[in-house]
Parts: sequence; C-alpha cells; structure tokens
Amino acid sequence: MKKPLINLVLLFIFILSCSKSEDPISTSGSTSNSSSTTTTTQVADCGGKLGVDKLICLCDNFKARLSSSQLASLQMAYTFSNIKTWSNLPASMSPRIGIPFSALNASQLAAAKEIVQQMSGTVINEGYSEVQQLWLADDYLSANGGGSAYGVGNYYLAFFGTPDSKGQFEIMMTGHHKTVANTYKDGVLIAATPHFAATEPLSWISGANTYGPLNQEQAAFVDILSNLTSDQFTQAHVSTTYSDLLLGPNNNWQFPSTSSGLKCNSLNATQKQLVINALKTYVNDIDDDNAAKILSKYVSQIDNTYLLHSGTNAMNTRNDYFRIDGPNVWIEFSVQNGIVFRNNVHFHSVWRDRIDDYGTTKN
Amino acid sequence: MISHSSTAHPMPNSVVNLYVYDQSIAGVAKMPLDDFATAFGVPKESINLNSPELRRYFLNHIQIITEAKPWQTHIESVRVINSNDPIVREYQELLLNFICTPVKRTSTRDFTFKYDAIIHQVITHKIMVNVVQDWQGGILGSQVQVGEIALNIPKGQYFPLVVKLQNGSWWKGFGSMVSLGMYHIAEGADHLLFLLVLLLPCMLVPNGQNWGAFASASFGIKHMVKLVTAFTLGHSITLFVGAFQWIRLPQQWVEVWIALSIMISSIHAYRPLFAKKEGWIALGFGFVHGMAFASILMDIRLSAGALAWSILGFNLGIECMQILLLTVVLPLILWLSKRSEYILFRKVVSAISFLIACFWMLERIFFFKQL
Repeated sequence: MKKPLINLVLLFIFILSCSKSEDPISTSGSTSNSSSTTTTTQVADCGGKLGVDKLICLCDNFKARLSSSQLASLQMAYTFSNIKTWSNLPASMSPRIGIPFSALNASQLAAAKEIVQQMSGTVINEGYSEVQQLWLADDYLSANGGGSAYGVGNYYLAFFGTPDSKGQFEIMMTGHHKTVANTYKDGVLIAATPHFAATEPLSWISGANTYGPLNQEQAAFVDILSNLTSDQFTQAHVSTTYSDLLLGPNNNWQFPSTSSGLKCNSLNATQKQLVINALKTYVNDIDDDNAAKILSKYVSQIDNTYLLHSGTNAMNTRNDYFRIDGPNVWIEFSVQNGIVFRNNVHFHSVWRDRIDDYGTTKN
Repeated sequence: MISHSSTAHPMPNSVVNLYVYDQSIAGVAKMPLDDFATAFGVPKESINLNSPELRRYFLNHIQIITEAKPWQTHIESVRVINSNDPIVREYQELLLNFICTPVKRTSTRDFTFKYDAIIHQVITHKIMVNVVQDWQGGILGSQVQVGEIALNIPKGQYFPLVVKLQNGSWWKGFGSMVSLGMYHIAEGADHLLFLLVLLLPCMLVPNGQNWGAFASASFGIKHMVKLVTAFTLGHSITLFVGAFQWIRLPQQWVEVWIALSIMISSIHAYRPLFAKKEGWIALGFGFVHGMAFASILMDIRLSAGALAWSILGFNLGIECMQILLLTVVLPLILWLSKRSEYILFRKVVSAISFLIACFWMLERIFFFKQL
C-alpha cells in the first residue's frame, strides 16, 4: 500500500548515490596510494628468461612493486574454494578475489599485464591479443550504457599459492568476459582450464580498428557445420535448446558421463582439420609452447571426440550452441541475448578439460 | 527475495511458489517469456494466452503425484508481466496460477512435483521451487526453498522434485497466525495511527465546539477501555464474517475507508465531532478495519476448521499488539492531558495525522495495488 512512496524515496536515494559514484572508466593512471608504501625490493631483469621461469620472475617483480596491503589482496591460498571464484558476470555481480586493476598505478598495471601476456599466446586475435580486445570490449560496454560495473578496471589478478619453480600455484586473471586461469606445478604448466571467453558487443569500431574478439571461434564452428554431410549433421544436431553453457562457472567437475553427438572418427581428413582449427582458437589462447603440447594431445584423441550442435548453422542467433567433447577437451560456445545491447546477441564460451581442469584439483 | 547467489546464469530462471493447503496445493509460476516461447514453439509476439493449446501445454507439464496417483491440475490464470532482474534488467515474464487437487483425499505434505515446463525443451533452464504458504508448517508470507528442478549434467537428465514438508500441526498454524496478527498491526501504520488519534482526546471533557479540561484519571481510563473494546468488537465481527467470505467488499474501498476513518478521527481529536458517541464510532470503524484484516486471511484458503482457528490466532495477535500499544500510550496521554501544552500537542498531532490520512486516501484511490 505504501509501496509507491517507498519506491520514490528509494529512487531518489539511488539517483543520488549513482551521481556520486561515477568511476573513471580507464584505469591507466588511476590514482593509488601505493607509491608511498612501495617496498624497496629490487626489481629483477626477466628479459633473459623464458617460459615459466620468466613468468615467475615477472610475478616476483610485480609483487615487489606492491604495497603490503596490495600484496595481501593479490596473494591468496591455493584452495579449491579460492580458485573456483571466476564467473561470467561483472565483478560487481559476482565478486572476484585478488587485486582489481583499478587499484593499481600505471607501472603496477603494466607489470600485471605483462604477467597475463606471458601466460598467453602470441597468435593474432587469440592469446594476449584476444585478452586485450576483451578488456576493450568491457571498456566499450562501460562507455556505451553499461556504466561503472564494466571496464578493464574491474578485472582482477590473483595468485593462488606462491609462484615458484617448486610446488603448485595458479594465476588467475578474471573479469566480466574473460578468465585466464593457468595452473603450474614444479615449473610446468599442468592446466590451462577452466578458461572463459565471451564478448559483448560481438564487434565494434574504435579509431582505425575493427574488433571482433571471438569472430574466429564463431567462424571455425560455422566452417565445421557447413562441411558436414547431411548424415553427419543429423548426428551432430539436437533439437533440444541450449540457452547457456552447461559447464559455466560453478558447474565444476560436472562433465556428462557419456558423450553425445557426432563422433569425429567418421570425419574425413579435411573435416578433422576444421575441428582442429576450432580447437586452435582456444588452445592458442595459452603461451605458444604449451598451446602446441595441448593441441597435439587433443589432436591425438580426435577420433574419440564428439561434436554437438543446436540452433542455426550460422551460430549467430540466440540459443545457437556448439560443443566439442573429447576424452580431455571440453569446449562450449553459446549465443545469448545481449545484456547492454538488448537487440543484439552476444557470445559466451568456455574451455575446460575433463581430466586436467584446475590442475585436477576437485575440492 | 530470490537470491541469485552465485548461480551466475545470465538468463533468468523459473520460480514456482507453492501454497500448501489442507486439501490442495496451489502454485504461482513465473517464467521468462523468451524461454517459454522457445519451449512452446510459438514466437512470443504470437502467443495467445487464452488458447486451449497453451492451457494444454501447462496441463502436460505440471503435475503433482502422491502414491503413484496423479492429481488434477487446473490452470486458473495466465498473464504476462514486466519483471526486473539485476543481471538482464527489464524482461517479460509469463505468470501462471494453477491449483492441483488430489482425486481422492490425501495428505498434501509429501508429494512429487513433476514440473517440466520450458526445461523439457530448454535443457539449460532451471526451476526454483519455494513454499510460500504452509499453514500447518508455520510458513506464512515467507519463502522457503524446497528444491530446484534442473538438469543433472553428468546423468544428462532432469528429475521431478520430491517434496517432504516437515510434520505440521494446528498449533504451528495457530502460532504463525498470532505472529501474523502482531506483525500486521506493527507494520500497519494506518491501524496504529487510527488508534492513536482515537485515544488522543479520550481524557478530555467536550465543551461545545472545543475540547475542555482533563476529566479524571478514572474517567479517562474507563473511556479508553470502552473505545478499545468497541473497536476490537467491531473488527473481530467483520474479521470473522469477512474471512469466511460471507461478505466481500472491494479491498480498495476498504483501504480508502480506513484512510477516511483516520481523517475523521483526526478532526474529532482536533475539535469534538461526535462527543459521547465515540463508542459507536469506534465500533463502526472497527467494522472497516476488520474487513482489511479479513482480506489477509481470505487469501490463505484454509478449510473451515483451520480458518476459525486462524481467525482466533490472528485476532489474538492483533489484540496483543493493541495492548502493547496501550501500555505505552495510556500513561503518556494520561500524563500529557493534564498539562496546558497538551492543547497544542493534540492539535499538531491531529493535524499531522489528518495530512497523512489525506495522503493515504489519495494514494489508495489513484495508486492502489492489489496485494
């Protein structure tokens, strides 16, 4: 009965609070109190190092640039409850742990991004290139109606366990539409999953550049679909609707006990290559050496890998869905309604590993 | 409130709220229209809410089963509403009211809820199932989640929800009605304000157009008890008559009349309108307030015995709050009435009450929301 009045008052408070909290969208050069308390630890030269050695060196350098309170946010314990905190929602709706980019000054931010770059591949539009584009996509959302919940400042970096050449640790970079979560043990990458990538908008123009961070993934699935025979297509296609990923955040270790769809052993060499091309659009997100190793494992299992599809073959309509499900590999791609751009669709996608997800940590 | 917790599902899900009655179970199902359209196989712009196909769809996908015997499902109403979700913001929902009745009388506390609207087609959809009313279990107005119907991903199947409500009792029902009555008065600013302005001049002697001096403590207390008793008698009668639906008045007009009762009582507290007839006025306005109390019980759809029991409990709750209010207000008015500043105090309070009541009146006429 008194609702309209209460709503009016709430609306007023809401408007007031909103007008006060217009966060800067870009984090570069964002203010931080860290400079006054930066530790005196020496920053090493990581240039001569390679692979995981270089990564650990960069991690040490990053830590050396942080204040003790920043360090406390960054460095977390390696527990399953910590490592599963990624999401497909903005951090404001599904809180992340670690240190937000918005809390870093320019040199700290550069050091953080160097770590992500070292974890990622160099193939154009995949790897670090894709990460950077997805950061830009979030900035674009922020500037075009999404507001302060979006933007690269709301991405987080966390260390679970201490990055070291001995023992196990995970480095996670997570925000709204991208999560990179690599697990290392005794100086070797043991898991590159779960790995999440999504994009809204699907593509946009900024300056002289046109971006479409997940266009290659989409095109790779369309390629597979358009080269199947009608018999193969019938086996791959299901009439059931998938409005979302099956194994998104929180659905950990829930892999279907039986795989379904079209088994790839019936594909010819050209068709198999199209599946491998699709795998590459995920595997190449990880540093090039490890990408090659993971890919060769997935390729060796291709005859036992299944393809499942629902919706249209163009993979551009709400509820379109594609899945690659092998002994190890698990990739899902889902076309969903837009959130900020309501009249468009947007892509969600996850790459997991049936055996090695989270470096086999289950609880 | 529905917690989105950490489900991280970017699409809204279905929510089914169950009302567990003695001899039937009613439900309100809310589902995103987009997903319903996908499952129903008709574009959402072309969905005819009154079509027999749509009713048949829900009859095929909503069933309660006990001892392997399906109950009868009846679709009461279907409409489309605008909803809001923190993630997807504004979206349309289909809102369905249904009721399931066993063919032969059976317990309504252990049952299998076989609900697969939308999920039979959209396999990623989820249905949250709550009990929002279970009189015997002491659930009234709150929301208790009893489970979720969702795909078991490893098994590749979804399963009906087995509901086992904890043993209920009439005492639990009675207890929850007492607290509902207390809560209703404590939350119902209009009832509180009415009582307050009614009692404001009760220690004073009317003197023509104005209120005169303080009468005496014994006169005042007797007067106050008389007024409260008359009001209680009035609302108890209409609560009983209304809850059994022997008389049914439009809820909006009852609410408007309550605002009017406060306006009139405020004028009376300012200057006597119906001096020495306050008892009758309290009784009359008691009738009006009782109709409002009754509308709450009407919605609970209890069997006659449980309803009578509930009315008793609900009324007891109301009386408890009234007595609590009196123990605070009586000494205060008694003390204040003797003082010269009381004239000003009484006039200011009654003027403010009048304005608040005017506001409620307008709000209830122009912005009335059916509960």
